[in-house]
Amino acid sequence: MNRRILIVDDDRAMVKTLCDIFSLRGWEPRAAYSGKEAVAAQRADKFPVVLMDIKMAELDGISASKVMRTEHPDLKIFLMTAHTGPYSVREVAREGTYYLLPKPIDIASLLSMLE
Amino acid sequence: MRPAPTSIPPRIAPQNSLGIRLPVAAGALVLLVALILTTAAYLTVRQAAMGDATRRLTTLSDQFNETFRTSMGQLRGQVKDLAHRDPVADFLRTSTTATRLAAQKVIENNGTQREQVAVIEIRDSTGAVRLSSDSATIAETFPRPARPDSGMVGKFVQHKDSIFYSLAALVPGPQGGYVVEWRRVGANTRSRDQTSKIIGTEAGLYFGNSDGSVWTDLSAAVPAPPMELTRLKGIQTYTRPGNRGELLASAAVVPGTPWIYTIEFPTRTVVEPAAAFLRNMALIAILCVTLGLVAAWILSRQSELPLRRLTGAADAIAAGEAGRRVQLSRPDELGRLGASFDGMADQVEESRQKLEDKVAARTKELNQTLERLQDAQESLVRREKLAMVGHLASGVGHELRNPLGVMSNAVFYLEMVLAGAPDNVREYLGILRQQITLSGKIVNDLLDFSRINPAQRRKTTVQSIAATQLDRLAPLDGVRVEQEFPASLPCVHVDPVHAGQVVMNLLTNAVQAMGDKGGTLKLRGRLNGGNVVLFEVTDTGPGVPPENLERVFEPLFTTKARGIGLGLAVSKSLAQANGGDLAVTSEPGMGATFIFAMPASTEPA
Repeated sequence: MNRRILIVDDDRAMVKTLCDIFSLRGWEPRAAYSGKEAVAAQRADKFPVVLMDIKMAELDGISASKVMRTEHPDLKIFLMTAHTGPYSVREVAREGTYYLLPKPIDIASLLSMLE
Repeated sequence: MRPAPTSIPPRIAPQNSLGIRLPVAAGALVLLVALILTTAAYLTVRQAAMGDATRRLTTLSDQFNETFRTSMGQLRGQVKDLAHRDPVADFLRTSTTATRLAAQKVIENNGTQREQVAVIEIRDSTGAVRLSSDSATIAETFPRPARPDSGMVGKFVQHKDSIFYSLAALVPGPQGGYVVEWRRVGANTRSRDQTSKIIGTEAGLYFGNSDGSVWTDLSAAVPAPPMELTRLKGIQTYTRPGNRGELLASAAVVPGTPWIYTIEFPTRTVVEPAAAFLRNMALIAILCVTLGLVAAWILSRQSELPLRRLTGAADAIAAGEAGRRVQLSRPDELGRLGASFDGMADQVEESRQKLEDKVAARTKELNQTLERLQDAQESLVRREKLAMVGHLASGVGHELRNPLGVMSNAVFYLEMVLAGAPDNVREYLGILRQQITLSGKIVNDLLDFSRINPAQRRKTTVQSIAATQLDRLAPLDGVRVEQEFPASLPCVHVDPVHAGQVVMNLLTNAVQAMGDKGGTLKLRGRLNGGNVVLFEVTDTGPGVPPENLERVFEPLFTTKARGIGLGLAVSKSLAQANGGDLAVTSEPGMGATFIFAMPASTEPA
């Protein structure tokens, strides 16, 4: 079972806590701090799951996920957003991203879903 | 509304008042008429009296002329008879003792015994006295008749204290000579009475010589009347010295004599009836004037009183006593004027009333419009405030979500790694988690309130909205929930998310208001006016103080220790965005009832 996961956020504390939690649950998390970095990491290591914030300074989550999806159609992308409004949801749905996690994310639910 | 007080004209000065001027004018007129009439009547009466007196004088003169002619004729006859006696001629022819005695006897027998005859003389042709009944003669001069057929009357002569006149007759025969009879003028009582009867007691009868020398009133000598003796025709008027008043006189020559007589009347006696008439007339005139004045005064008073009432009513109305009327019940022009005035006042009053009603109606409309405007303005201000607050809340909320997420992750991590830690550590982790969750909720609320999405209204029921939100709120410790939704309650046409948000807010508030003690939460739905469904949330908390009832929907208004005061403001905006509204009623100590009005659905059930 491939339990590798790419965790992307420009908030380092967020990335660190998530990585630690996933590590503790037996995952191999890999941190990235921008969309650009995430796309590069994904090209290099082909993670099956990406957990990524939408709002980032260098290439936002939606743009990055677009690139990743074209390169890896099977990729599971979880997008985290502080904006829970219908607008954001519609936009993400149009981009073909399947999972949208409103912040603060319910980590327990996410874990149970992934596991 | 009171009209503006107008200046009331000053009181009318007495000299300008009709009440004075009319009677005075009428009195003056009556006085003038009375004066003219009296004067005219007086003059007429006086003229008539004078005419009467003149006629009377003329008549008297005629009578006297006749009388004098007769009596003087008799006297002349007597003298002639005496002169024609033979002894007289004999004595004059031959003067002897015998003839003298015979002549003397004739004189004594035929003359001196007669009344008024003072002296009888026989004179020769030269005029010398040859024989006399007295030793002295009255006068030397005597009338000398040329023919012996009649006696001749002489002038009056004053002698000693008496007036005399002579009667002379020619003695027939060649010797000539005269018989001269001197008579004393003097009326006896009888003849005076007769004269008085004829001419009246007031009148005077005077005789005098035509040359004006001697005058007598038949008893004594008197001054000559101041009249023109050359012009005796008609009536003359004059005054005598010492005699008061004017005299009316008629003079004439005594026929057969050198005498003139005058009859005098005091004009006073003649015009006395006219004067009496004048006095009577004056009395009547005074009476007429007085009566006229009184009548004019009464008339003017009668005319003036209604005028005063009119003036009074006009002044009263001008001073604001709009209901004042004249109410003159008179059949004349003044009555008509009063009625016109009252009619006008009625119309003015009616117009004023109409105007006031109109003003009141307009004012009411204006106030309503103002109220609506104020409501709209309040609503606008609230939205504006909300938008501003929302903008801030949105930014802050989003920014807080990240750290909250990190904290949440951190707690999750710690709970995992410290599963075997002491109870107090795990308890504190639990407290952390709780507070993070609460913070998350606050942020969610903030974000919810910061953005009201366009309402996506559809048909739903208040029951389902209430049930959904009650589920989210559960469990409710110590709170008894009562629901009252009639089966007949129509569906509502709202955005279920919005309505849910409003209801959730009301439920949260109600539960918080009741606090730890709990209480009864009553939810009730009812139809209002056919097209509005009211959803009422009643709690048994302390209620809303009256001074806060208006303010609870203001953004940022809160009485809670916690909370930022957006819930009810957002709820009201949401309700209004869905065609409804939100209101509150409360009595302190009796809890509060929030009423969420929603439009009923027009779609068939």
